[in-house]
Parts: sequence; C-alpha cells; structure tokens
Amino acid sequence: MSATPDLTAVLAISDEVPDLEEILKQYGAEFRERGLLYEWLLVLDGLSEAKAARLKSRVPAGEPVRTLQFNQAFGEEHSLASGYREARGRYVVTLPSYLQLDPGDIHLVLSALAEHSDVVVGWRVPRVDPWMNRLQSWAYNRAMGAFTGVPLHDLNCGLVGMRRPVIDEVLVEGNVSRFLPILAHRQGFRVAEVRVRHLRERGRQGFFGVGVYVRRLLDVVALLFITRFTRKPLRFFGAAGGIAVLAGLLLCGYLVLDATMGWSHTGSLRNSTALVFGVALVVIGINTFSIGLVAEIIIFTTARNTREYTVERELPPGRGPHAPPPAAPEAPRPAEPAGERQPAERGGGRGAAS
Amino acid sequence: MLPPDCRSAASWSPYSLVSLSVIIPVHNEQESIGPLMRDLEAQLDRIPQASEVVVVDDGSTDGTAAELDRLRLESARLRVLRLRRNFGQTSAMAAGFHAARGDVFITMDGDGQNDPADIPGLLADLDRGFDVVSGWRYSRADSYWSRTLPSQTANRILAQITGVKLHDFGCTLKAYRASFIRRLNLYADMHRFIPGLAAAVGARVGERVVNHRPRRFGRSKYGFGRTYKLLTDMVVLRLLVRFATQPLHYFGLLSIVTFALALGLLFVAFVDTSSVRIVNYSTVVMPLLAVLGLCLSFYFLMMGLLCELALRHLPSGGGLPTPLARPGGAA
Repeated sequence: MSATPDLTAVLAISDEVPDLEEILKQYGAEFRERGLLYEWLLVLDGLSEAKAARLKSRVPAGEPVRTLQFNQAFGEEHSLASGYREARGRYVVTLPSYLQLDPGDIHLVLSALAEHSDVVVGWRVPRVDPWMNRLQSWAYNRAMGAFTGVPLHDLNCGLVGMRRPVIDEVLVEGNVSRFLPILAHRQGFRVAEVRVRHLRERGRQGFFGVGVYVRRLLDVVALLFITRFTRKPLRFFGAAGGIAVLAGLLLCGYLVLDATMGWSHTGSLRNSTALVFGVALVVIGINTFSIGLVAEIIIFTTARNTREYTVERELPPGRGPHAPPPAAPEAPRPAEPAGERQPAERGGGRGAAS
Repeated sequence: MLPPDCRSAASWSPYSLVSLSVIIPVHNEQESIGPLMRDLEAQLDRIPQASEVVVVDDGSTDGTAAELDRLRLESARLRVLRLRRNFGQTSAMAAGFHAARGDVFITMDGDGQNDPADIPGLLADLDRGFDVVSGWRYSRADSYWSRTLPSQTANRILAQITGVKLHDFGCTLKAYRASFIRRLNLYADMHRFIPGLAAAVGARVGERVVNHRPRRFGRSKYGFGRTYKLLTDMVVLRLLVRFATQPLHYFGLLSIVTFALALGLLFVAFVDTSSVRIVNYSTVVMPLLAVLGLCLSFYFLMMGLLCELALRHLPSGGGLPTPLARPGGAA
C-alpha cells in the first residue's frame, strides 16, 4: 500500500470477533460509497496464534487490512493508543468490534470531520442495554462532564473519529486514550457529538460492575490533576500546606500560652491531644509544601522541552504593499482537514524548544 | 529575507544587529492591531536591519483573525501564528519566541499602548552592550488606583526578589538578545520574570523610559486577581532558582538544620531543667518537637534525593542553563 489513505479505521480486538466479516463489509461499503481511500487497522490484543490466523482468514477479499499484534493482552486503551500511532489516514475512526451501531451512521461522523470538527464522538441514543447500565452510564457521563467541563453524553462510545493533527498533537499514552476527546478539547480542538443508532449490546455481557466506572473516574481525576496543576503545582500545594502550617502553629501557640498563663486552669500540656494534633498539622503542612516545591522544581527544569500551546496554523507574509492582490484573500479556514496546513515541525507538546 | 542560519544560538558576533523579530501576542484586538501595524511598519521601514513581525493570535474570538489575514497579505514582514485556543500571554509569547528567527526579539502589546517609535532607542541600548532592555512606562496612561499603584508595589517587590533593579517589569515593550531567550524556560505566567531569569543566565539588563499611549479600543485584560498569583510566583521563583540548581544542597541544608534542632530539643528533654517544670515543657512539648524535627529532617533529605533523581538524568542536568559569557576581547 503506497498511497496515503484518506481514512484509517481502527478496531481493537481482544477476542474472536464473530461479526468481523460483517463489520468489514458493511463499513467498507459505506467508505467506498463516499469515495474514500481507506485502510483497516486491526489491533489484536493478545490473541493466540491460532485465533489470530483464524481471524485473518476471515477477512473478506479486497478489504485493505493491516494488523498489529500484542503478545499479551494489554487492554482496549493500549490497543487504541497503538492503533492511533500506526494509523496513516488523514482521518482516523475507531469502531466497536462488533456490530453495535448502525454502519450507515458512519456518514454522520465523516461529514462532521470533513466540515468543522476535529474530533467526533458517537452518542448512542436510545440505548438498548439494561436499565442499570444506562443509569450508571448516565451518572458517569454527567460526573465526567462536570469534572472536565466537556459535556459529552457518551464518552464510552466505541465510535470516535478524529483528524490527523489531533493524533499528532494530543499526547495519548496508553490508559488515557479513552479520554482523547477531553484532552483534545483542552488543547483547543473542536469536539462534536453525533447521535448514532444503538443496534445491540454484546449478549454475554450483563451489567458492568460499578468498579469499572469508579476506576475510570479516578483516572479522570488524575488526568485533570495532571492537566490543571502541572503548570504551577506550588500554587495549590503551597496554599494547602501554608494553611495547614498556619493552623497548626496557631493551635500550638494557643495551647502553650494557655498552659503558661493558666487561662483554663488545666495548667499542663501533659495530656494534650490537641497539641499532638497541632504538631501533626505543622508536619503535614510542611510535607505538602515541599512536595509542591519538588513538583515545581521538576516542571521548571523540564519546561524547556515542552510547549504549552498548540499552533492551529502559521501564515507567512504576503508580498508586501506593491504586490498584486492575491486571488482569494478571504479564506482563513477552508473545509479541508487541518492536517495539510500544519507545518510538520510544530509537533504539539513534544518538540524540543531549544 | 532573513539569513537561514540566524537561528543558531549564541550568535555573539560584534554587537551589531543582524535581524530583528517583533513579537506581538494579541487576544481580541480587532480594532487596535491595524493602526499598530501601520505605525510599526512605518518604523521598521526606517530601520536598516532586516526585520519580521510575528503576531501570535491567542485564540481571539472576534474578527482579529480575519483582520490579521488582511494585514498579512498587505505586508512583506508580518507572520501570523494562530493558536488553537486562548493559552494566555506567556504561552503566546513563547510561541512567538519559538517561531521568531531574528537575533533580537522585541515584544509589544497588541493593544497599541506601546509606541513603535521607541524601538530604535531599545536597539541602540542593545548595541551599547545590554542583553535585555525593558521599557519603563514613566508616565502611565492608566488609572492610578486600579493599575498604577498595584503595579508600583509589585515592581518594588519584584526588583527586591529578583535582584534586577527595574521600575516596570510589567511593560511588555522589551528588547532581548535572542540567544538569552532561547535558553529560558517559559511557561505559566512567567513572562514577567524574563528579565530576572535572563539575568540569572548571564544577561546584562537595562531599562529605558518609553512612551505609553492611552488605550483607544477595547478593554484592558488585566485585573486585581493577578496580584496574588504574581506575588506567589515571585517567591516561588526565588526558591526555584536556588533549589532547582542544587536541590540536594538546599534540601540537605534544611535537613541538617532540623536534625540539629531535634537533637537539641531531645537533649533538653532528657536534662529536664527545673526552671520550666511548671508547664511540663520538658516532658511533653520538647519530645514532641524533637520528633517533629527528626521527621522533617529525614523528609527533607529524601526530597533532596528525589529531586536529584528526577533532574540529574535530564540532558540539561537540571536547574538553570549554564550562563552565557560575553567575549571580553583580548587582554
């Protein structure tokens, strides 16, 4: 395959996929209908050789398929992340690994990508899974929306489309690839949602455990903490630590004065639990502050190699006042994907600054 | 327009200017940017050095982008960088610094309050041997209570803390020798500290009184809330410059001091002098404080080691970069 495809469709596969032929055929037909040059990227997450061979043998003839193989199961997040890295298309779409959604709805995603959005997330309405899952999912998405400020209805939808620069610029390491839309939004990419028809859930899977969501929520808290306090950790840690030290000192000071002056007639610090507590506050405060200082030191020293900003486009000067007017001066944002205007050297937060 | 190799760092060759980059971060300055560019172009036309203007559009939501596009096509030296969203003034400035190709950087506000007519003076100062020249808005065109007074206070503290005696750190109009800027870490609201940081890596910092024109369009984007951040940042920076360069040195010092205090307190507790017996200082307070001191002592030591661990593997070796020395000529 020599030509760069327009579209890479990524499938994370962790087990045998009964629907594989159907998925490839149906989505392939939709892609061809739009006249897209596409490729499939199947990420086999720790499938045995036998299973992998069986899977490959079931690929319909004519479908352009590449595969990536993990030697052991690393999970969906890592599969997607490595799929993103390997994808070559100008657009990348991840699909659920069974016929969960109506393949015809892929047009909505592709249209949105072609027009105005950098990231498009599916929103399964109406959901067809049990009420318990729906409730959990609803609560999860609400909580995430509140936490992250990105009000998406269905973050866990397997259908996500994005433009090339999103992959190049948003750092997606393993276990946060699920949160790519949120990260992309924070970097200033346009994130949109499209409603897709939810055909069915995988039969054998019943309710999700609450644990799944709690773990993801913790992931997101970590993620947010990372994105929000990585600039100036001491602003947060310093304030928290300072308050604790101050409170501790006030408490200890009062107790000592009280004992010395005999205000409350106890006259002794011997049994003072409060004093121990006050001292503990001071220690905790100093610990908090210095953790912040250490974090700040690390950031300060590594900051030269990171860029906090992302460049949407860079425009060179015109010809100057005496040049003939150019043909189309008013076209600041053509409908083409942003990837082509992106100079290769500005690679998001990864380029070396010096 | 600019020599291809002018990005190479530390182009020290005698103090003559090869090329000049004017960097202007803008955020929603639709009306101001046009007149400013007119003045600026007129001024740059009169300067013999090759020059470029890098305007960084920091996620403007008004017509700034379209206006810049128009100006760019009319100009032979205007480059426009559009950031994906509003990242703040420091990031916008950093973006401009990264994109700029000159040997000298001049930064200006996009609101038109800085006067391009001051540029030749700043360049003359650089030629005189300064590496950073900061503008000083001697007669400010802002209201006294909300802008000028807080700013004066902050500047005095800043001068005290950074050791760089400037009157107006907040003035965006500054000229830098690019080799110093390229050595600095710029992130999160750090642009006010550039003179201080530049001095820390060996720059000779000076200042020059510049014109400050009243704002003609739009609203000021600064407020009171920035003062708290500014003050904490200053304290932090002072700590940072020391700790980041030699973490184990400073944390180790703290560790030794707290350890010695703890030992002293333990000693007092054992000796149990009769003079303080009334409140049982010796039997309750002293041991408690001693334990506190011991904990902190080991804690500081560990923190120092952690920092060394985190920093020493970096190519830079941690801390500020090695200062740039100026060739002093033959002795």
